[in-house]
Amino acid sequence: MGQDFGTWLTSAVGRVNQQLVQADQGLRELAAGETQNLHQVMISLEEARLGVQLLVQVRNRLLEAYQEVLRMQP
Amino acid sequence: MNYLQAFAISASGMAVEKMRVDVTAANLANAYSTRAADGGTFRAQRVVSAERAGGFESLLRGAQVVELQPVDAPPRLAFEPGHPDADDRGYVAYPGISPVSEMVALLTAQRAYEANVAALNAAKAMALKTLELGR
Repeated sequence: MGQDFGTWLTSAVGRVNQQLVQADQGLRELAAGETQNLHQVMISLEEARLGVQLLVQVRNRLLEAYQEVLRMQP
Repeated sequence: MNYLQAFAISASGMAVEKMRVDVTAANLANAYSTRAADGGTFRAQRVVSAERAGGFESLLRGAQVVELQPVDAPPRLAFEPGHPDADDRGYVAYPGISPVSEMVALLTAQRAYEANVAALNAAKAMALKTLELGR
């Protein structure tokens, strides 16, 4: 076991946040008319979307496991 | 993350095809220009693209624009004696640009761009489908 789950989750949230910030910055530049290529903005948006979806799925599994533990009877 | 590699490869192809469309638009815009920026007759240009050396890990590599190659076509001479750019015999040299071949280049670049978008969308759909595993 290299790192615990909390550390992994924190870094994953940080990565997704970084992607979101990047996509947001691309959108700002697009709105300001400073964008050189449109496809790079769209791709960064899609990357951010994928990252969020992955994080949501991890959260769903985590909640399932937690509820499974809650249902345990002695 | 590995799915980002397919995105980067498709993005490089889209950048190349965008460049082709830009260059073709410049050719069409200057089809009736009698002067080039360097003083001679304008010459149509073609984008030369090649596989990108290195950059991505593994064997898969994207594309990149290598150079702009001028098309070797003789200028089209038209007899217009009153034209300011006419030579001493009254002929004006228009660029040897064929609108038909420019349109073909435009359509080819457009379809190739769409193919890159399709490849990127397929990679994205696969990644999203993977997230449905076990649901």
